[in-house]
Amino acid sequence: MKISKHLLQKELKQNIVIYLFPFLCLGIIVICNKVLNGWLDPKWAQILAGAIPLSLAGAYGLQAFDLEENNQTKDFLLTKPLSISQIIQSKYFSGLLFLLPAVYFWSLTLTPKVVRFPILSDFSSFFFSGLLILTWLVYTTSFTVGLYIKGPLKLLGALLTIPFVASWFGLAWFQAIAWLLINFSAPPQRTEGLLLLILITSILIIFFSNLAHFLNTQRLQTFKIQFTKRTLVDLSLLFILPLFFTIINQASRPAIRPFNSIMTTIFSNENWFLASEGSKQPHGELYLFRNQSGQLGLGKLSQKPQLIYPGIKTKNNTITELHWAPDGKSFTFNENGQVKIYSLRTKKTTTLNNGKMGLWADDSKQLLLIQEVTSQAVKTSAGVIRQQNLALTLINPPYQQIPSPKWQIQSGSLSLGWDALHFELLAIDHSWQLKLLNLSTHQIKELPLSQPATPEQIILTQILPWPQSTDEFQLLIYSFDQATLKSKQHDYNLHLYRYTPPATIKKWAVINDLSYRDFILKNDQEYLAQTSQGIYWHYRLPKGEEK
Amino acid sequence: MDAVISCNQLTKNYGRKEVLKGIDLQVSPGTIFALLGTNGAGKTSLIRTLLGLIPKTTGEVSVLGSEPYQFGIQLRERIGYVSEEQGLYTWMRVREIINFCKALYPRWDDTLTAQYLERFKLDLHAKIGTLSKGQTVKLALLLALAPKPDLLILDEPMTGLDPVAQHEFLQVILKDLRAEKRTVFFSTHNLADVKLVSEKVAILYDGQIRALGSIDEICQQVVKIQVSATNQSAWESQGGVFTGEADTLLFDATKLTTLSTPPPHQPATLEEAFLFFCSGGLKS
Repeated sequence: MKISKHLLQKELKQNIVIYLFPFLCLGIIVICNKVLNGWLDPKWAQILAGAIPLSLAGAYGLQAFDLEENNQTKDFLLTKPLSISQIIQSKYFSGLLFLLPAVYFWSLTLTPKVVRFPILSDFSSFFFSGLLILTWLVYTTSFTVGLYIKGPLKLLGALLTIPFVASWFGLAWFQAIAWLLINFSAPPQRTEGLLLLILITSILIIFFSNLAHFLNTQRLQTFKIQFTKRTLVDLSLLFILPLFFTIINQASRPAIRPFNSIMTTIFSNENWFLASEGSKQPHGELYLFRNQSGQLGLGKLSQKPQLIYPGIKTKNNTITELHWAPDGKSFTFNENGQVKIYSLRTKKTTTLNNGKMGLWADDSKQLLLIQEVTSQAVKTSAGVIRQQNLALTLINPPYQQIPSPKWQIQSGSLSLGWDALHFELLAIDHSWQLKLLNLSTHQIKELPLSQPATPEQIILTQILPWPQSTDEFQLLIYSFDQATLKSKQHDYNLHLYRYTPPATIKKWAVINDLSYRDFILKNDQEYLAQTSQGIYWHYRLPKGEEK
Repeated sequence: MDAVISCNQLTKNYGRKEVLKGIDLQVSPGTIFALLGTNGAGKTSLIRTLLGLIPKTTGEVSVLGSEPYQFGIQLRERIGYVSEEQGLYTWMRVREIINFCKALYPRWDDTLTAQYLERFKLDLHAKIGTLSKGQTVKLALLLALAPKPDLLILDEPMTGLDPVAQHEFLQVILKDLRAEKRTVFFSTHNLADVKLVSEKVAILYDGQIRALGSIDEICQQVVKIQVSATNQSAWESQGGVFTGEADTLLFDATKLTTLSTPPPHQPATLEEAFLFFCSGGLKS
């Protein structure tokens, strides 16, 4: 592909007015906005930043040959020693040379936050690259329409074709990116991810080969393309593939998805709720999630979580320790060191006190507030662990004051649970033991958890009520084999135990080589497993793992 | 020597409309060839086909040994073209368009450019949009001649020019191009131009070549006869064409010799031959 330098210069000079027009408009908008003190609503700024470049792309593409046609300079150009492909390429690339920077500057000026490199874990980061791709597609399509259709029909053709093709390809790319996001980090979906890559690559190959074909072909005379079987086959493929993506994407949906509709994605100010940790409502269908911005969301399966608690701070808000009441009507959480209760019925939050977490009794009324009094790092045989001095307080409704009694315990625990029936605090630490502290007698009982054959380092533990049971607990231990740590940096093993008070522990399942970021118990067979922020997949225990 | 332009049963259709109906034409190197025809005769379509701007429908066409629609860059370098509308970029300055064209042609002649600029009194800094019609045509001619083309194709270049500008234009073709033995193919309906410069003429009417040859050869194909008013319809039915002068009729010279008692006749002028061929004479 050889573009004549002189031809490109000619194109740039010839079109300089229309090429500079968007920059001029942008300047006027910026000045007006400054003079009128924020006259442009951010929502409209986002719409303009997307819509104007797309309209420009259509206009640039369509008019690419109009100046030559209208001023009857077409023959002058065509009788010069230039190939048709050189002429078309110079027109195509000169438009693109101004269009893409125009998209960049419009977005940078009006919606600077969206101008960033796409990150696989954050769907919204694809907005700008998506806009660039869509602009390019609209430009290329309208450029082609401009080649095919002449005269007044051009406008009609453009009105019909460009929005259709743009939305079609937009949809394709949206679906493709969604697919990419979902499949890339999901181990059970690797085959589909590979298929996706093949499909995307095929789309790109078909598109670029078509582009190269139409830019180079000698059959292109007097700015007209001759339809061939090949063009028709390629065009059909280009139109069928988006449909394929849409169908396959609908057929293979994750359990929890972070996506909005396309229109919401482009035109709303709604922030993405990218769930990072979740917990299932006991005896209910809801899932409670926290995100990295310190917000809480509730969602059902196959839905995007809806924001229910925006957090008290807009920046650096931290929410941890989500604990459902057994009746599923309220839950406790820790927000920036304060334990709070959220009621689903009143949709209100009650602040309890400073503390670490609030654990519910089986009546869903009494709470055990756990506060960290002191904390220090201690070196043990299992590595450096954090020794905590915890204060435990029983709190009864209406939660306004802290009544006695209080207890203080020493613990290096990673997770805590409360067996209200036996009045015992449950703790798991690094030593593969379940410790039971009786709050009445202050006696500590240690129950060993069966360990794997090769020593494994515990990284995280969870104590959760057993699904559909009020007096049993599920103990989850996430660990990794130190010997294979280097080769499997991101994988870990999950050991599942069933604890039936007062002293029965059964190892129930081991799942090896997991790379999920969060595991939510759905029932005793199924889980929701997080592959990237906001995306959870259904996960069934592999056969043979269950014990 | 191979013909510079060669057409064999060339046809061109726009949809169902036939605009060229089997053109046979040979233009030898170094010839100044005039294509005469009325408006709508198909001159521009023939020229656009020869330039490869539109594809032929059937038949054969070859320009400088190649099918024009498949022209590569090398062949385009050897062909100069000036159209009726010129189609120059009006936003460019004279210097800019010269530089633009110069960059495209390896054989561009700077001396010739300077000569013509001087001769045509063209201002290098003038915007093309501000030039007069005559000056624009001269600039287009300069741009077509400076690359020293082997073949120059002119499509009614003198339309709209004043007599002085026409004279200047013809002088260039007459003196410079004839001296350099370059092939010139030009279309016109101005017969005075043709008589002045052309060595060979083709008369195109209704998509067909009605007459082809030197001016003398073409004039010899038609005779002028005096007929009485009573016989007019009889002569007309045999293909005679009235000139507008009283009792003067143009008639096919070959056909006249076949008559047992041919009437007194005189050779026709080019204008009369043109009128004869473009008025439906010699339909067969």
